[in-house]
Amino acid sequence: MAYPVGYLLYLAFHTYRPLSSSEMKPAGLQNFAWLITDESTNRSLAVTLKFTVASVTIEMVVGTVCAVLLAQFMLAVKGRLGRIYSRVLGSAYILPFAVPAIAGAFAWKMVLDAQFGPLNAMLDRHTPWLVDYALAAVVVIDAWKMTPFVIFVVLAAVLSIEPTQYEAAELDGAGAWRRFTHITLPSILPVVTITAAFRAVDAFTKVFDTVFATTGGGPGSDTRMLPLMIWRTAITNLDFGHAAAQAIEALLISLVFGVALLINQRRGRS
Amino acid sequence: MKLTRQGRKRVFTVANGVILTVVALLMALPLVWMALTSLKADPDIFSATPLAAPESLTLEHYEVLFSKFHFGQASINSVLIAAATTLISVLLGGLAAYGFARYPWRGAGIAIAFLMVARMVTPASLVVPLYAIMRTLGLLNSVTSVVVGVTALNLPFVVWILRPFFESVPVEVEEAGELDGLTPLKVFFRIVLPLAKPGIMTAVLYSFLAGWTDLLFPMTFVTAPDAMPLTSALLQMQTGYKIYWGEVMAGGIYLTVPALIICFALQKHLVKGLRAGF
Repeated sequence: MAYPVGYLLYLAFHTYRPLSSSEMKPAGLQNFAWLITDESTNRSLAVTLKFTVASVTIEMVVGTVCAVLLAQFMLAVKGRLGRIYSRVLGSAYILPFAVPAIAGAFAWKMVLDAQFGPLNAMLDRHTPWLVDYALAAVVVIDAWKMTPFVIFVVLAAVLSIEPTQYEAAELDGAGAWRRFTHITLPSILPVVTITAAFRAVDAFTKVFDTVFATTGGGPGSDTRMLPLMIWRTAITNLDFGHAAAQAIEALLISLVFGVALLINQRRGRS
Repeated sequence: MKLTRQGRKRVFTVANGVILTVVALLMALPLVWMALTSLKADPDIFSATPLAAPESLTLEHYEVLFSKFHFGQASINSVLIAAATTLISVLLGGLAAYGFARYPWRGAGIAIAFLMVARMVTPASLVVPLYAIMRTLGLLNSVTSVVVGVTALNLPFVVWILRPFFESVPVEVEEAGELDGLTPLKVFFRIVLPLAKPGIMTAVLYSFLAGWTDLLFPMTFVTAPDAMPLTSALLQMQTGYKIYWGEVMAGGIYLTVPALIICFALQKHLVKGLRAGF
């Protein structure tokens, strides 16, 4: 792991285009100078950030709500049948998470297809969703796949709250809403925050299969996320120096974020 | 009519159940549609009324996967990649995690911080140096190159998952083993590993999934059909003018089913792994 990362750093300071010459030339900071001024890289960065904010927001909101509802449901249902059903529900949410990204991407591509897709048939129209609403579609697909992750993490947090806290509050006459805002929310907030941070880093760095298989980064560069951009620069254009510089930019951004996260976590603990 | 507190609670619970069921159905929908489409005959797929009930169901798309799209060889490659990734990751990752948990050394903090950083690297950026390395080694177009890539990416995560599990194994048990004359390596394999089994299962599950579902490395390193795993074979199917929806959906289901079975069988460990992420 350290070797590839080191080699990546090395490449970033060299010009290496096996297509035109097999020679590797030192390039100093040229690649980084190019990086800052390159319009398509900057645009890609903006798209990736937009995607990250949108999908993580949806995942956190939907995931947290579902987790709280699921916890209430699990604790409130009575009888064997009810209990079995709440288990089935809990397992059902694993489904999107367990599906390989490429298979999920194709499933959605079919659902959203302009000519033969069920969504258009239902709405009685022929919208090419992956073209007209490309970024939104990619966000929805990612939210579909990763919301279960949030549900399970937050569910565990909700279930670990002491039931006696609720009983005491109920005796004091606190209504359901007050119990939610005064007990549930503050208890799960640390978990929710850190989950959001992890999801953000993941969404930023690991969005690849879905985009590649559905929109391919298009139309134009509307959904050309950074990982895809790096891959294209390196493998399609065989321009390793520039690609390495882009990769390091991406790493630095997630690193800044990650370090902020760590410091925050430390502070929360002490 | 005013409901009692109990009554209100019951209404709330039922409403809850309905909402949760709707969400679960929405989540399952794309997969259900994929499964259904894979079983439809072509005229029913490429029809102006896709919602109409199909005239008949057929398995022909699944047959085409094997006769035209190399799914036989691809299955073998996928299994090889997943198995090798799992074995190497869990073995090396297990030893490393055990080292971190038991033998604190100067610089361990830095190494652990590096693990954290490693998890934040865009996989696509690892492809850049690894591709150059594989080219030099002449390993492009081999299953090995994919295994190396996936394992490099997966190892930090495995160490991360396993470390707390090893820390929870009581030292006294190991000391007892050492007193009985076992070498440290034997203590690890005979005593520690069995005790940390829940953690190992989680690591196995995630390593398997990493190998089974990875697309990035095979699509970059492998262009020869006979070294392709299922993921990139599936990706290949959509090139060209016409999308073979029936075959693509069948391939998607074929790729998904093993992952689903394993996830549901090891559901407990799956959820544990999600939370072990931090």
